[in-house]
Amino acid sequence: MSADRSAVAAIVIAAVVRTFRIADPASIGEHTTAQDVDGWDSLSHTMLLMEIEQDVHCELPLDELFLATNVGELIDISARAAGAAAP
Amino acid sequence: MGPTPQTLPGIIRHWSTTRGAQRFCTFLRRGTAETITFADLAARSRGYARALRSRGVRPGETVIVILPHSPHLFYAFCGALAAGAVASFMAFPSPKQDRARYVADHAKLFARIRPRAVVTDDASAAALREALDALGIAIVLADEALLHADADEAGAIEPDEAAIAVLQHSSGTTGLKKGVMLTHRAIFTHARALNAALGITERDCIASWLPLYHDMGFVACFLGSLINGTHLVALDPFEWVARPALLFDAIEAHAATLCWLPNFAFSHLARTVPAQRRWNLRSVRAFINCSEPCKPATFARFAERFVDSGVTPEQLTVSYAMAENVFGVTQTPLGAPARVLRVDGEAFLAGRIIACGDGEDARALLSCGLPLPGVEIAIRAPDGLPAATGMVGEIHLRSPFLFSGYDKLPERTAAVLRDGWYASGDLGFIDDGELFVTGRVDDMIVVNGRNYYAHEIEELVNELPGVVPGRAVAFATENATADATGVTVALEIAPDADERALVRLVKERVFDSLTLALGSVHIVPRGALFKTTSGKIDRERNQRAYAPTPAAIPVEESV
Repeated sequence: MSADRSAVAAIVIAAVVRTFRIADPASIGEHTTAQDVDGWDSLSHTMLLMEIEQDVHCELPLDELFLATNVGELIDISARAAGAAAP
Repeated sequence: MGPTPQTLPGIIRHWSTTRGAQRFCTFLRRGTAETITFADLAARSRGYARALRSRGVRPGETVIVILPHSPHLFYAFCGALAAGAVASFMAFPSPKQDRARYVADHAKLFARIRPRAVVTDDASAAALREALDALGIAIVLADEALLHADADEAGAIEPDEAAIAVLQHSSGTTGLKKGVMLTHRAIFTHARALNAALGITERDCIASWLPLYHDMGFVACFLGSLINGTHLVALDPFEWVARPALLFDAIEAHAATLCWLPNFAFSHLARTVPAQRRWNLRSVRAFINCSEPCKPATFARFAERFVDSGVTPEQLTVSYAMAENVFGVTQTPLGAPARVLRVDGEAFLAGRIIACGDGEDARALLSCGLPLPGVEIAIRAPDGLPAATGMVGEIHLRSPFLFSGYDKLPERTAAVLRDGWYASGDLGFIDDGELFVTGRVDDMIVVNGRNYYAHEIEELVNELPGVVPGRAVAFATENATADATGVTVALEIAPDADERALVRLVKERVFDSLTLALGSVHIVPRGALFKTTSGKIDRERNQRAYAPTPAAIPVEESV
């Protein structure tokens, strides 16, 4: 089961904008990759995950955390995790 | 019972005989804990030794271990040693690394170092097979070792203490990767010196998330536990990056006493561990900061953040270490906070050390401590003579456990190893007997405990279509999001190049070859990069001009 994907998408994109201090939020979309964003490496990725987990109120699955290749896949992982955690 | 063996295969057999049922390692992964006893280690490594011998590996030949985080890392490595081979770990490819590039780079590397066998998993074997077959290098899989799981000691090799035991490979592209050759004698002599500096006994327990292809994880944690017969708690490095608190869970659960961390890891823990969580970390005799420039502010933040978990400034120690000296060169004394020296900032930039108070221009430097027993340190001026008192110079060192050279690279060995002294390339000074490290002679940048060279990154970028040849520069910057050092590249591009695509290509190329995620890539107008009067790229001036300025945003705001 997945949570409302569009709601999770908004959370994930807002977290990316906040974590990496993106000046133009409209520049972040589902196809954005870590390579498109300054400062997005494995350490700051953890900061981003913390932001997302706080807002979707669940832990993201460890096996998938570093496999997402773009923001869209991160949204999918987060939506699945949020759905699984929902009462 | 005779004296304790002084070779790695000898010590593995010794502990297996004398304390076979005792834990060597608790291996943590995905919420599970696997216990490996000394008897397990010896038995499983015998399987690998038999498999390697059956594939033609002879004493003195090199065996490379490229495996994901699993106990097989230990079994394969110790199996190679048991077969009398020279064993070496190399990094397992990152899931996001381009496989074709990884294979091409490693094929070049293997053609130079000519290992007899590579121990790896199915996926990497499939990727590497064609290249390795062409070079006559055997591939050994874990399954083959399992076929020999009941192998006995027959054919066990007891090498000479003066024989090369391991190669520690530096980071870098294939052209620059160096295999540091270490003898059994050097490894054991170093262990005694480190034990003396840290008061290590068989009651100690080391907790580590560090990868085994890095000297801190490999020597301080893995070989240290193996030689001393102590307990190692090993976490998956990838898992730790995502869930840093797992390290504290491990320390608390196993009452760990020693924990080596690069500076960025102290920062990562302080910034990411949930504020409401507490642990009992009083069992730790020393958290040891090394492999990166150690910062007083990082220690202060770590101590403040985890004071409720029992962390005190006295637990936070510093070491200066490098693979060429097996590992440790210096260590701050235990039981006292590492000394902070405040020096005049302007004089410091000119290479002069003038102690001062807490003024606005003062620069705080963290001591790396005293030389380990047997280690001599000399600070030398560029002309090779001793640096004048109060002046920064290149750190040279001599010790009974200095490396035997770089594998198959005699010219590079000769360039740094002269008359028994090793020229480290690091800059520093001695104050009151303690070493302070201040920078580098060359263009090396330390990111997350790993060493990269700016010119090497620039060469990778210069090869890309669309980049104006010779018009790329790499330099260190601050990654404010992660509170760590990052690398920025500035470059000039051809008029018809697609800027966005090229930025992505630059990041991909550098990551695929070096597993380094660039902080940012700046495209600057044609002719905008600064050159020196001799026509070389001026890194310092370009850094001042093009480094991002995230420092304007307070670090705390980003959490």
